[in-house]
Amino acid sequence: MRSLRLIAQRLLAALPTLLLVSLGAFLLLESAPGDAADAYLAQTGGDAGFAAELRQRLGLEGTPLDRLAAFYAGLLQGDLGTSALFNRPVLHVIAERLPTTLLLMAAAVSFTALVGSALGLLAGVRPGGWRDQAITVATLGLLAMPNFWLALLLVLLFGVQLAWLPTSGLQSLGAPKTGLAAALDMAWHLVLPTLALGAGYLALYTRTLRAGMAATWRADHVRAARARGLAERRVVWRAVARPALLPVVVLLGQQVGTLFGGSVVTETVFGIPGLGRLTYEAVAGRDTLLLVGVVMAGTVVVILANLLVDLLLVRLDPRIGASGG
Amino acid sequence: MGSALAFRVARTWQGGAGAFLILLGALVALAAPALFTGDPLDVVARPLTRPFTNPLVPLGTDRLGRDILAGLVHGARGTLLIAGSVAAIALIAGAAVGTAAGYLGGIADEVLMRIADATQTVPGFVLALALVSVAGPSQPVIVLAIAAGAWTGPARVVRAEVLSLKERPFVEASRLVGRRPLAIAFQVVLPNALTPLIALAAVIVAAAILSESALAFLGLGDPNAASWGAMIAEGRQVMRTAPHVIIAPGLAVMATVLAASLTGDGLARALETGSSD
Repeated sequence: MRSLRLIAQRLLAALPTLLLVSLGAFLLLESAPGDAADAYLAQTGGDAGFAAELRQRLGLEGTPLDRLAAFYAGLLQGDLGTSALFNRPVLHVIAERLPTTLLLMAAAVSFTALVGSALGLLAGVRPGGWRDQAITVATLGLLAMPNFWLALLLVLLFGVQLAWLPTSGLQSLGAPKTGLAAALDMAWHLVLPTLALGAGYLALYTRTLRAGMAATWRADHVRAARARGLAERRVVWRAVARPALLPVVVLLGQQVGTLFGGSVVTETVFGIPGLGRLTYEAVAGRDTLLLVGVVMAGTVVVILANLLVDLLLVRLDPRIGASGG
Repeated sequence: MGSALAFRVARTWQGGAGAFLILLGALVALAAPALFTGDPLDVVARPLTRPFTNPLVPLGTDRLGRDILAGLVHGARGTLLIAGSVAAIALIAGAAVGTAAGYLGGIADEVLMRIADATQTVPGFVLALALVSVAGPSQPVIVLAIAAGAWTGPARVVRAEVLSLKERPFVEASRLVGRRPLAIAFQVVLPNALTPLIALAAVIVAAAILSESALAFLGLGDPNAASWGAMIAEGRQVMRTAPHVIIAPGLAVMATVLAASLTGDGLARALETGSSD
């Protein structure tokens, strides 16, 4: 199977990345003031004897090389250490928060794909027209907006002034915990965070689609399609919009990291208990092990998302084979 | 080539508007100590004075009674200094890595590009957050933390350019004359790869301004300097009753980022149309 071979290839290619990122994570831990034992002791208290015992148990003794060996031994067993802040394994804390962030990211991507496609098409149908100009200016503005500031403006407008939408958390007080009603309640809470997280992304998407369409209008096959007397609508759909979709899908993959980074401020502003908010909590609580765990989790998310995009690209463009690029 | 390019950039509306805004910002930043002689973090008037009500503090005051306009003007210094330094470091480091990788080839190329791959895979903002959190928030640390994720773009551009230039006759000629490979790489090949880097610099500046303000918003800005992101974070608690405290600094960030991306757009257009020279 072509897809299976592609998956195997991409995962193999990701190995050096994972090795380098984990090495960077180790260096970060080494250069942090105090180690995991200090962080633990700060929470529990204890004498020097307990500290020594703890260091031995956590593999924090000896030379940096010994510690590196202990770090990788733990990593291979899926052990990222214990979060001092939560007093639980880092991996468990991350696994608990990850689904919420993935949901938020998926919502932002869907919103972007829907609205961005519409706006990009609207602008790209007639490059240089007034719709194109207006959309170009609007997307430039969106791209220049800091996402945390946009989030606050959305809170002010839709949460405070109009009081239409909830601005904090994922559930209403006393809302049903299961079933359709719970899902709707959560979707309602996700509206503003999705807008805040997706806005910059939407602008990039729109601009990419528009630029692709503007370039395709001049291509030979479009003129040929027109010369054959194809209806204008079919020219737009078949000949112009479809080829312009490829760079947009590539963009989806390239921007996953940005989206993940954006979730930190978005989740912090809207009080959403996901991985982004956890990153902020780790920073505020000086929990370096947890922070390093989040960095690695984010890297894995980016790798897997790009794999997904690659599979999608193969579907969209048969010319991209498993052997190429 | 420099002045001709600047002229062509200024002729596109994007480049003209962007360059005008950036020059204005830089001028304000440079003149900040003369315009507002006091410390921008000093309390000067009644807290939460509305904008346009007191001529002494035209944009009003924040929760503690600090002058918002003075904060904006002094914040421009920090923001532009950090963003400019990030771009300079990212370009220099990226150009060095890209030149070395493209010119040396082989294992050196492989290793350097794998490092670039790994760096690009880590979410840039989270990386900056982690680095600043571990090393402590000060302006040099913030610059290095943001640059740590920004050098890969320049590295790739330069590497590609070097690879295409490597086999050209004039490079071949300097090799035959007996110059050492690295000397050729940095003295002959690199100057030719500079043009696409200039447009990339504007993109890096825009992204760096956004990252710096987001770091400051999360409490990881330099505590001793006025920062737009920190002003917004500070204003969050009172924004429901006094929205002006977050609107003014947000607009300042937006205008600066817009200026940088417009300049970048103008540069890209000027380079596209004027590739004849």
